[in-house]
Amino acid sequence: MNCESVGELADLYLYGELESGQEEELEQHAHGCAACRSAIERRRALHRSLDTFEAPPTGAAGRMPPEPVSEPGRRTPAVVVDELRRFPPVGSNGPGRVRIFRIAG
Amino acid sequence: MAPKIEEAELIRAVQRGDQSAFEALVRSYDQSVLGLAMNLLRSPEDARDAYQEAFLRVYKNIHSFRFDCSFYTWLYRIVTNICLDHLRKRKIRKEEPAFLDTGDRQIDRTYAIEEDRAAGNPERSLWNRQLSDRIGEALSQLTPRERMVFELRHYQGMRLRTIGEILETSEEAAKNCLFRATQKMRAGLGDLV
Repeated sequence: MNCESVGELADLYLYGELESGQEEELEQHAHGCAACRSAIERRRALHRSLDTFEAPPTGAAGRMPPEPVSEPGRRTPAVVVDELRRFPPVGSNGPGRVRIFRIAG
Repeated sequence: MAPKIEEAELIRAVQRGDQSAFEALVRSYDQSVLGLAMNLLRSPEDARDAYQEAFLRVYKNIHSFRFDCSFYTWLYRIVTNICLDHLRKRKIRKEEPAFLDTGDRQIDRTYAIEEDRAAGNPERSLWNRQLSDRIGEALSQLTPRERMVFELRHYQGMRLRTIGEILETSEEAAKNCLFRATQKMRAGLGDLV
């Protein structure tokens, strides 16, 4: 494996998605190549930075905004089932967007 | 009873029309489905719509589930298809929510998280906001499919093989997609690290 291949495969390596032979070759090359080791570490730092971009929590942390207050109380899956029962069968035009669930929060 | 067998029995019960079984099935997956939709769409409103649509499709189509893949894969296939549609529509409209639209107010979508971590450190907080803006911008440059694969691999931690199954493509195709996505992300963020 050469430096160019390491550059191409470094992300898949960090995700653990290389086949074992490729992974071994990459590690062997990096062991003897300071530039590639450094490139992999930079890539690892980038992955860590990406980790800071997370979706807001959807549960009790409260960052999912509440449903409109005009709606009745929180809908349980049982209510969902009731509403689904009234939903038109597959193939009909249907009523468009319907509010089925209330998200726990 | 082993969880998988228990789930299979639950699914068969739903297929026979047992609504309490459907309720139990929804309960066991609702948070993960909502979390996935939220991760993919980064908009609570769109995530809710996707979540509702997903369980609606499950309810309408579960009779056709034949146990030739795991229920998890089947369900996630439905969710990712719905989310892909949302992402594609957004691309057409050139929309990308930079903020969390909460209806009555807008919240920067990542600052809300970062402010806790960076509390008491304004410089750190500013840096995190800038970083988040740049990551959001880089993500918006991906095609919907690249974004899907990237999100599933990086943020959901799914293996490429599973992603391939969910997206009904090969592991190799998913790998190529991830490769293109990471290249674009590097191009968009390379100077940050």
